[in-house]
Amino acid sequence: MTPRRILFVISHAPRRGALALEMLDELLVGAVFEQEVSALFIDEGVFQLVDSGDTQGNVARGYRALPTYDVSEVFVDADSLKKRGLAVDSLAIPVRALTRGGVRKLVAGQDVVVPD
Amino acid sequence: MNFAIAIHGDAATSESPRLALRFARAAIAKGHRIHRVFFYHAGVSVANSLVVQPQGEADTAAEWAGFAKEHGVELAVCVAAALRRGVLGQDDATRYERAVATVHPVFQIARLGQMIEAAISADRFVTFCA
Repeated sequence: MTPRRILFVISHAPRRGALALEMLDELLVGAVFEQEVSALFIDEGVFQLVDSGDTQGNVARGYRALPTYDVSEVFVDADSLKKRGLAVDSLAIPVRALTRGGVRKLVAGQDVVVPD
Repeated sequence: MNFAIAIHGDAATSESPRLALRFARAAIAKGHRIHRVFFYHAGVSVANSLVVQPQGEADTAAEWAGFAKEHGVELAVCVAAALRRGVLGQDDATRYERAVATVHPVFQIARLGQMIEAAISADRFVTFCA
């Protein structure tokens, strides 16, 4: 079977109980299935990549593990960052910023989209 | 077409399990198949057999169980998310020394990998967010 393109879309803020950590778990499990896995952070979801410095419930530190997993690429919606006064270099991991048009193209090219 | 469904919301605070059920019924009625329904995040609460609905209110969990039996659809609950929310199979109730197992017998305790497997092998993966 040819690998399928799976995109995990993270659009919620990190502080919602276990939800953010559960999404991270899902993404990491997805990454071991030898598919073409990528992640998109959009809207409030961009805050999940901001390292708050806290030791507990800090999902940004969990996302630091992504490069050691087989995740092809991590994208962020540039507009969402800008609206929240964030920049690509203030995030916990290297990401590729996309325009809204780029986001549409990315999503349209997937076999599976998994929202949070 | 072969569908896999994910449910992220619980019946008490979200329309997610009910909308998903309507979708599933419509899909079966049109001759499609449902490979697996996976309950994740707060959605695992649908599998809690201790929930009691007031008379006259919709019992979405019971409807899901009836639907699954009637059509042979697999209902899977993520074990990690379920433990956090008090939905335990007998093994976990024993292991964590809890007084009762709470999972409804029609639901199977599963691992996240089974959701990814369903998402990959189905023709369409449809998520009902909270």
